[in-house]
Amino acid sequence: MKERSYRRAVTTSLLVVATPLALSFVAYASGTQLSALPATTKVPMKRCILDTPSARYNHMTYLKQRRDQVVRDGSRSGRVAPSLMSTCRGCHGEQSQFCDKCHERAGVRLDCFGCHRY
Amino acid sequence: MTTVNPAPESTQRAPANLLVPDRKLLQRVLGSGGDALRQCVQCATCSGVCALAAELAPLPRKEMLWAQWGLKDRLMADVDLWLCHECHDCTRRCPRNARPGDVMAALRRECIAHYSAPRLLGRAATDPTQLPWVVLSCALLLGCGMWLWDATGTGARELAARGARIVMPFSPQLPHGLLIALFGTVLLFDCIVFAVGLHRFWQALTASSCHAPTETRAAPKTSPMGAVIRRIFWHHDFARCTEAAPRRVSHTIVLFSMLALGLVDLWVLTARFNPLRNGLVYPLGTTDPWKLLANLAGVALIAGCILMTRDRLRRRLATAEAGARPTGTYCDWLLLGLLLTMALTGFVTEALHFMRADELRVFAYLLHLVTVLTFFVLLPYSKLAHVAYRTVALIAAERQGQRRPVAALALNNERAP
Repeated sequence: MKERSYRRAVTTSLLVVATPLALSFVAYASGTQLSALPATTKVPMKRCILDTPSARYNHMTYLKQRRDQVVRDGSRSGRVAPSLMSTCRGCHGEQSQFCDKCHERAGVRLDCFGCHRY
Repeated sequence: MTTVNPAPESTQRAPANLLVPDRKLLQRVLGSGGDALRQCVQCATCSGVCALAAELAPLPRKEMLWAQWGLKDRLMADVDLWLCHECHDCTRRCPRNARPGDVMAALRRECIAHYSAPRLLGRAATDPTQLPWVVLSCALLLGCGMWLWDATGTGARELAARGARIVMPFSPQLPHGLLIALFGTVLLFDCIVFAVGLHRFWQALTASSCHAPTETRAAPKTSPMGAVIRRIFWHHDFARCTEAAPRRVSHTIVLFSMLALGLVDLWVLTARFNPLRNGLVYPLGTTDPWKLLANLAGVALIAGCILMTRDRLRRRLATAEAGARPTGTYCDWLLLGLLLTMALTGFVTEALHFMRADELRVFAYLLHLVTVLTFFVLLPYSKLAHVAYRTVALIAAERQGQRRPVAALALNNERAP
């Protein structure tokens, strides 16, 4: 490899390595960061199904359990009836404001709404 | 033992000046790649063809002689050992097939094992039969950490933390706090081992009369440290080698991809404390610049490792064709293997995550973590320790002036007045 092209390649790769850091500073300065909590309709905390931290880490398991309960056991019993249309949406109004906000940002694919309508 | 730096009055007494060989050194060098050492007849072809050898203090001829004699003290305090970048110009042209390049590599390994503490781990890192035990210990360490985090509720507390930053760990059993604690401890251990080893190494280098500063050289324009960093950064020494010119490219790729991956790791692991970030900080989105950089660097690391492997296999074939026994440079293969395994298990984990194979994903992630842990535990004893040792040796060489007169090198030592 010629000295000149070698130097050019190394400089380019250094720029590539430094890009994310630079972009992070830009994002910080322009304030385009995600808020800590997704938007929900204001409701008293006592009605929440899970407290925020548990919901954060366990909502996927919770939803799958409720799904199995409804689809396999045919039961809609529980403190909050497992129903997307009639109960979930009561507090968590919009898919774009509630689910997608974190999921899109984190690159975690949602496959709920291929079948279900929010 | 040899007195490397005899004081003038002590040279009058014979016992202090006796050269006492270290037979074990010879055994170890013979056993770890330098098995053709005994072929050397000191013709000095190697020093003649070496592009990195100083005009008046050539290598590797004198190192070959010292190794044959088993003069360990002299070799362990030898800067020139580290000036060699293993291009094998000498190996190719050696008329006796003594493979000086491999001997130099074996001596450098010996140097790392000699200075690093505890020696037990140093020897374990150079012995292939010990590798399963090291890996098992690392797996056990990780398991203990997981159990401790679970039993004390530290993990649950971390997951329940409310704050401005949301961190979703890749697996709830392996929260970032555990990873920071575990890898932080191992890194601290590495730093201590490096500090002890480099201190001993530097003492030996500066005490050795082989490297007495010479006043003939004008004061350098820049600091030795800056000069060395530039030299390493632009791979100047690799560029001077002719036989292994492609290694400049592969070494650059591996070096910079490892730096990039280290940077991403730091960014991710410190996300919880990073004032630049708030909101959902982990996982990173698919198009997040950090994620893209990590993937790019991972691919580059694999490519660089493959280039290095190809280079080593070619040389192995050439050695076999020349009728010599192929070298068993376990340390080189161990490092290449660990790097490749780290990168591949990382990519497999990522793929399984996208394929939504959750149990397999966690299993692959555990494999990845055990490999990374093994890498960090063996770091100060492995081939990668050359990052520290070579840098220190190059700084010593820059400080002393590389092209020093031969009188300062040999005459003090080898001829008693």
